[in-house]
Amino acid sequence: MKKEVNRMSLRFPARSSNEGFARSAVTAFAVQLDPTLEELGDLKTAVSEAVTNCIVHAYPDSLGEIALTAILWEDGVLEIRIRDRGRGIEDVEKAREPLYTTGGSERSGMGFTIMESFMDSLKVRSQPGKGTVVVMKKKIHVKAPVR
Amino acid sequence: MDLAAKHEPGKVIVYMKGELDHHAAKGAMDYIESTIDLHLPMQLIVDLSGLSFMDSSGIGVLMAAYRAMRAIGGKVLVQNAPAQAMKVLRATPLDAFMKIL
Repeated sequence: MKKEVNRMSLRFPARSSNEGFARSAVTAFAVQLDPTLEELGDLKTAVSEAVTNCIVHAYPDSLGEIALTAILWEDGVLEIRIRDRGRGIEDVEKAREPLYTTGGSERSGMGFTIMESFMDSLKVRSQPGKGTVVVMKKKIHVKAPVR
Repeated sequence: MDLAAKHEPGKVIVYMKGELDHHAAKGAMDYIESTIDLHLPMQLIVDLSGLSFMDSSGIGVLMAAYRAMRAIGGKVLVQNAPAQAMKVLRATPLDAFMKIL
């Protein structure tokens, strides 16, 4: 069973002003893996999409909380879990379809599609009325030593 | 994020600087829509060279710009996207609606 090397957890209110904070926090944590700029960009983007989903959809009538956990595994995989205790998703498969959105016309419906393309794997578990958890993983590649 | 516009005959260039995410999206959309209303250009050019970050909320902003321009018979062109923003643009079917240079 693979070992955990490091982890961090944050909780913050589902405010849009915290989207940038969440991106910066995950970037700062990921730096210990010496990722490329592209890998950092991919992580930031996927985290931004997942956190934005919580802010836009999870708590329509109240200001709820988002829990973000990042785990660094010994094989160089960075696992990111983003959880809310909001209204949940009725049909996860439908929600994951490109361009599908239950938000207004200003939403592109591409959030899950982008998480899937920018990370190596994406799992979404949700229960209507209870909340949603998104688990994404990305292997950060070890670079060849400089000669 | 910061927004600025330059008006030339028949076109307007909107320059975006900073992070284009859900938090910034409404402000960006309002700015673009009022710029279009003011100048009624045939072409709206959105210059992304100043963006340090963009996610799919930026796609929403560009699609809103497309709809506003289509309503007046005009077109949108996106230029100078940095690498991270370009990767997001290319992950979507946005190039079916506007030229991305």
